[in-house]
Amino acid sequence: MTRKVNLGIEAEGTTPEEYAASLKADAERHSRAVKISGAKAE
Amino acid sequence: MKPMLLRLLCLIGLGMVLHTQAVVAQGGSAAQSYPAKPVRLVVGYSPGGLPDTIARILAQKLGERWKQQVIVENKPGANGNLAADHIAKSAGDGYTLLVADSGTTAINPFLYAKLPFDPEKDLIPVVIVARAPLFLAVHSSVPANTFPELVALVKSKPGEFSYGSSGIGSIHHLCMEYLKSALGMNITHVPFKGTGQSVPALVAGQVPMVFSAFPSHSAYAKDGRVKLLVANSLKRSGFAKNIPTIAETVPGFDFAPTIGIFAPWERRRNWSTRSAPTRGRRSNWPTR
Repeated sequence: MTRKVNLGIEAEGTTPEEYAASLKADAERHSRAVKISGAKAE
Repeated sequence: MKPMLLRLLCLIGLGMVLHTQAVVAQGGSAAQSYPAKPVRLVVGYSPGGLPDTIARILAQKLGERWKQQVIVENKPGANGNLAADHIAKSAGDGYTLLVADSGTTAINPFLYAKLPFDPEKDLIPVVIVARAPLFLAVHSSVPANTFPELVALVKSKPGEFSYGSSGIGSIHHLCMEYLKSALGMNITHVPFKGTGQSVPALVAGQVPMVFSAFPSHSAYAKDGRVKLLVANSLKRSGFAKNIPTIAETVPGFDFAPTIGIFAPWERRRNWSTRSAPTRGRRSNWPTR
């Protein structure tokens, strides 16, 4: 627990399928956020 | 509760996936003793950051478990793209893996006009190792003690508040822009070069609010220089249960970065994941 607090993380464990689904959801949110922000890589 | 290091030791799911990949790559027999040679964990950032720290913990514990050397290799550059491209072009034999945050695979494809790799076609997601929620902290002088109070305050003074981020296109920036859009808030963005600059600026009162990881804020929150109002994860963090989430105000809001392991997608070209013996198996995290 101390190590988790020090790092500020929640330990996880997923199947590859769950990870793929999570990435897909992330991608949808992040693509919208990038569009909203107008950010482009320099 | 077992400590985190023991949980990392129990990455049985990871071992099984990699074993499977090695079986396929080596024709089905030679991988019975996986790993038969050192495993490389490639990190797309310099030593000392969170992905690197997690990779080093994994390397130590997986090495002990596998009785095989697990080496962390830092390949910083282009927001993690350099390392991801290296993995994308590596052999899919289970011996070269990427430890990456969600920025590399879920933000960079939308931030860069062109990438040298295709995250979907070239990288196979193996396991999420950790989530690292960001916490919105405000300077102690901001007259808001809860997230709803902050939203009401900002809306009553459109354009008068600013926020600091770790730079244009960072998760800290995108999270706040998404939040601003969701709640109709007008807040000016002040980009810094990482939390090493944005958090001190918050503490000094140069910017009234900043999203950052818990360890960046916690000492300042303890001594009262900043107030932690809310986390950007779907659920409250086990180490900060008293701090609500944005999702409690904006249902479904989840911008907590993940850190996970990827393998080269080479096996997809000659082997369907549907036939993987590890399909549907979960890593054995005892405390989940």
